Amino acid sequence: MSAPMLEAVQLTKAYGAQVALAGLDLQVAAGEIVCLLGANGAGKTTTINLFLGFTPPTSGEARVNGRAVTEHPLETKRWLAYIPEQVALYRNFTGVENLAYFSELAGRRYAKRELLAWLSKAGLPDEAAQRHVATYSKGMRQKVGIAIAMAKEAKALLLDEPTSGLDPQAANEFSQLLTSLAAQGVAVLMTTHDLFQARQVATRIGIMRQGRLLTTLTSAELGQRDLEAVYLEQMQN
Amino acid sequence: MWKVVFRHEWRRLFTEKSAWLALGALLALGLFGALNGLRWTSFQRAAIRDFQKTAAERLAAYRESVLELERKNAPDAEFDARRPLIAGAFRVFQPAALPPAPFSAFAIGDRDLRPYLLRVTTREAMPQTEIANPLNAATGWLDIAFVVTFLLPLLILALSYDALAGEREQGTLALALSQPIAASALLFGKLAARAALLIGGVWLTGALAFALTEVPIPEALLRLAAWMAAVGAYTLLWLAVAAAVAAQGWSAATSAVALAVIWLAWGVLAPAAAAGIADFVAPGPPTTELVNAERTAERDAEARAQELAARYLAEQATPTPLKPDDFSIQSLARRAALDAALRPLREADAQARRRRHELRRQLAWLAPTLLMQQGLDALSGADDDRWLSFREQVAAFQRAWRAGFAERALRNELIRSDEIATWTPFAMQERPLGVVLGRLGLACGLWLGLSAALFGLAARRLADGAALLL
Amino acid sequence: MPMWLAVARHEFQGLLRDHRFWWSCGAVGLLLLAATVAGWQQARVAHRERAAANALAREHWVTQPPKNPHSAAHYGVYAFKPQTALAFVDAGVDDYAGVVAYLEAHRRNDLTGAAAQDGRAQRWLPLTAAGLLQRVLPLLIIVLAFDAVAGERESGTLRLAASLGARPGALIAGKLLGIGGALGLALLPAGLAGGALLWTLDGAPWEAGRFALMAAGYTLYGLMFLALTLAASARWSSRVALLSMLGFWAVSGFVVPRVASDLAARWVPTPSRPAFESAVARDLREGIDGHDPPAERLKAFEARLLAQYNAKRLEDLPINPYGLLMQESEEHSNRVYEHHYGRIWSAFERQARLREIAAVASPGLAIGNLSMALAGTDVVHHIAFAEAAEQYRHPFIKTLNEDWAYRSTLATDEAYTADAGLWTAMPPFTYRPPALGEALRRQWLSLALFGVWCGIACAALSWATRRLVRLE
Repeated sequence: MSAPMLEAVQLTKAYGAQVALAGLDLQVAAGEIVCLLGANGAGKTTTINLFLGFTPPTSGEARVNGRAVTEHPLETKRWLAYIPEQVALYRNFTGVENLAYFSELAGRRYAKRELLAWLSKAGLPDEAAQRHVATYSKGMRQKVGIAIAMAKEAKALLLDEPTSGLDPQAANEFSQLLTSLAAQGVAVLMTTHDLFQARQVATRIGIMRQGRLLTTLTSAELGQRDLEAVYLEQMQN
Repeated sequence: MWKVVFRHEWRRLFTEKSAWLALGALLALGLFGALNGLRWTSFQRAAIRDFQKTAAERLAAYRESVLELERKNAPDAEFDARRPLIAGAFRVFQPAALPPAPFSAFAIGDRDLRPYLLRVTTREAMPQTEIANPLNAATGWLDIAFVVTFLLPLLILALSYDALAGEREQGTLALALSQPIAASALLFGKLAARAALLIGGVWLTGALAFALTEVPIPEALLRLAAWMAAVGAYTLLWLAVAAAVAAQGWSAATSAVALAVIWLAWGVLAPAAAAGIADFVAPGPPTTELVNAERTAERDAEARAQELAARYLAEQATPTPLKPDDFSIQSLARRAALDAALRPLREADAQARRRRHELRRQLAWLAPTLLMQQGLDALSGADDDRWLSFREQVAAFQRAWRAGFAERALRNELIRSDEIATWTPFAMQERPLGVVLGRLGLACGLWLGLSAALFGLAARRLADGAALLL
Repeated sequence: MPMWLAVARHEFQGLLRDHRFWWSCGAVGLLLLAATVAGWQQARVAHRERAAANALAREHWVTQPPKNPHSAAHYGVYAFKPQTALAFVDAGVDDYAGVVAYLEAHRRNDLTGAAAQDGRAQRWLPLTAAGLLQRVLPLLIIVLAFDAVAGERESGTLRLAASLGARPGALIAGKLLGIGGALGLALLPAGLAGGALLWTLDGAPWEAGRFALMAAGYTLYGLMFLALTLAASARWSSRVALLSMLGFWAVSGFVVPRVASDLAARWVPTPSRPAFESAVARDLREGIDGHDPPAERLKAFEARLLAQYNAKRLEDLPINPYGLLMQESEEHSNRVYEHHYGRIWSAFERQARLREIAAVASPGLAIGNLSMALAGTDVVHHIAFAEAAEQYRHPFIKTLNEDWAYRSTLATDEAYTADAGLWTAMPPFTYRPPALGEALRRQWLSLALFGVWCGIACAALSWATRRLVRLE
């Protein structure tokens, strides 16, 4: 097996006395979808921020494609794509224009035709892609987020509670997109409260509490067990 | 990479109308300012013309009366119009004027406050103060210099207060920063778009105002070029301030508050305080004291008229055919005594004036608005330096004028009608433009250095990353 | 406890716990205190200097040696404008208006000695209590209040409060009171210091009422700005509220006054000094607008004089005709000057009126005009002093001319002198500024517009309060 695309080594983040993340060890290989579960404040979002270099670690290291994020902040971002809970876009610009801008920031310049193709791959029809983002639903904005990730041909995808607030149909579409991206060899790290979706897409599930990764279960290990029961059991220990 | 941000930001500024608003405000205020500057310049030119016309009429009338006396072959008398002292003190005066400089429509400065016309006789150089409504004078004028010095920073800050905070609050910052671009590059790209817009806007305003108000002679064009350079450096400075604040990671509202406070404290209160400090340090003798001291000296001279005349005559190298009780001699003696008595107070006054002025110039290095205002005023010839130099030149001219007449009065060498046309009038010796440009260049250097430091600070703070998202 | 009081207490306590409050209020409070004390110090010195100067000028007059009364009229007398006590709170136009009137025969001189002519003034922002209250206090209010309502809406506590049955009216009133109270507390030291310092200045009892009115005016001004800010905060998001209020502050405080003075100078021009002087000289020579030229009038006056005393030649008169002829031409020049200065004053007043109208776009101008009027430092007071000096000059010169006319004849003209008896018999110059009622009456428009602004603020606040219910 090749080097993991995303790797956390004893990754720790403390804000003064408060420890947000304590010695996380985690690897996400290409084609894997890892879901992190846990209560608010468990350290899930901190993990994502550390991989993005939005905040420097107190100790330990976050690596992307074998490179340390703190040492190669820009290079590691070339391989990463990030979809926050709320994909926020420039409201007075169309979906295509937003995609064009973010792609250019990623160092890729596309013709309009290609941009439309990316968006339609992400599930956004041409008509919608040429409207101002101000008129978009949350699901549509998520799709633009996916399109940005696809257009930059990211090797790893970081998602921070991407499906919260989506209606079931949109969430389902989103899950399918994720699965197909993973099938193309993208490593996916996702935080979520949505046990159903986690069960549906994850190849591995991690459960976090108070900055610690308590356990990871592969989908095979989980087998027929009830995820909710496992989760609550972990929370009580 | 920053160019991508620049292009995107440029489009955004225009689609969100803020660019049009800023350009519109700049153009409207700038052109209104240009018209106000032009109004003052035209007013001054007309006043100078009227003043010179009055003087010329006086001189012509005087020449007529001398001619008349010459024709009649009238014998000399104590109050004869041809007596040099009678002529110099009562019959003619020299109009000394500080004319508007090229490029004067760009700054009114303190031109409306400082007397620019002086009526020079052998007695004194009498300032002809304008009949201005003190309410307007106290408020000041909206000239281009005011727009550029005070309102432009406001515009800059209004356009850039949310450079990063706005994106963070609408959520796009996280997405942008998940791309391989440094936060500092993102910020600089955004600010570069604003710099291009604002500097371009001010230059356009300046060019239009110039076309509207000035004659494109080389000297004026050179000043316009210097003006543009100064405005560019000044804009960068305020953008750098915005960058330093943006890098703190505060909310948009907090950033706006911080920038408003900086503008008020650094841009408005600091120059006001600098002036206050200068006045406090070098108040000079009060007006009331000057006025009453003159009176006291006059009374004293009046009481000792005979003694003063005798002493005066004893001190003069030139022999005189006139008697000590002749009006000319009495008058010369009296003037000399008054000058001697009042010299310490007048010198203290002039020194305090100089000192105040120098203090303001030194303190200006601490307050960019003050420095900018002084620089722009100097480009338009509306600065204190030029005015003080004018006053000193007139004082020297008056001394020479009086000495010439006094010399002749002693010898009682009568004024001839044919010489009147040869009297040289006062002409202002302008300082070389290099002096003004030198100081302005130094100021621009300071601002650019300060901008670089502030941008560097912002970049370091942003590289830290901690302040960015949390 | 009534609901509004509970809200006010909560808001007040919240501010006291906010370090932003302490910093900003501390800075403004100290600045205000410093400006008040420094202003008082300067005012005291200026007051003393001018009083001493007036006394010395009088002494110069009464101790002058015996001389021909008309020579004494040429010698003239100086009058110094007394400094009003409240100038230390609001210097108004004082630095830009002359303070010395030189009163002599034949000529009306303009007031001279304005500090600004000598570079002893700055036009960025008057560093007086009034300047700070007009321009800096609003910024403080905006900073403290812009998110008072919007912040609660954005954090959700407004919904919570509304769900608990809090009435919007009580909520807003409480905030107005709470923030206003905290602000008042911060500014109180400067206010008290101002009052106490005023007491040490001459004329204090007379000025105390004016000071109280000023304090009330600035309190109202602050409340008005607070109400506007709260209305914006209740209506819009905190960011929009902040930006719109900051924009309003900058434009109304720093742009509108200058635009007003430029438009005033453009629409109501005043002549330049040389143009004014030559117009006066022409009318002195030819009569006002060419009517009644003085040369002919003096000839007629001579004839009347001879007829009155039944004499054939001036030498036969039992009086000195020169004195009366001088007075006759004095009367003429008085009329000419009155005519020309009347025009100037009327232009000044129209310009000031324009600025009063500009208060439509700037509440700071309205309170500024009122404040200057209360301090006795506005243009009206400047003109009043100039006119008072002129009104003193007329009988002053007339007395001297008539003494000359009736106590000498052409034969004794050369030898005649008046002495200290005459000098001391002439009353000294005294000046009382216009009464409070008169000063305020002249500013009725500012008063009205200030009222309008207070009304607008109340209306905006009540409108935004009603909207608050609907939005929730």
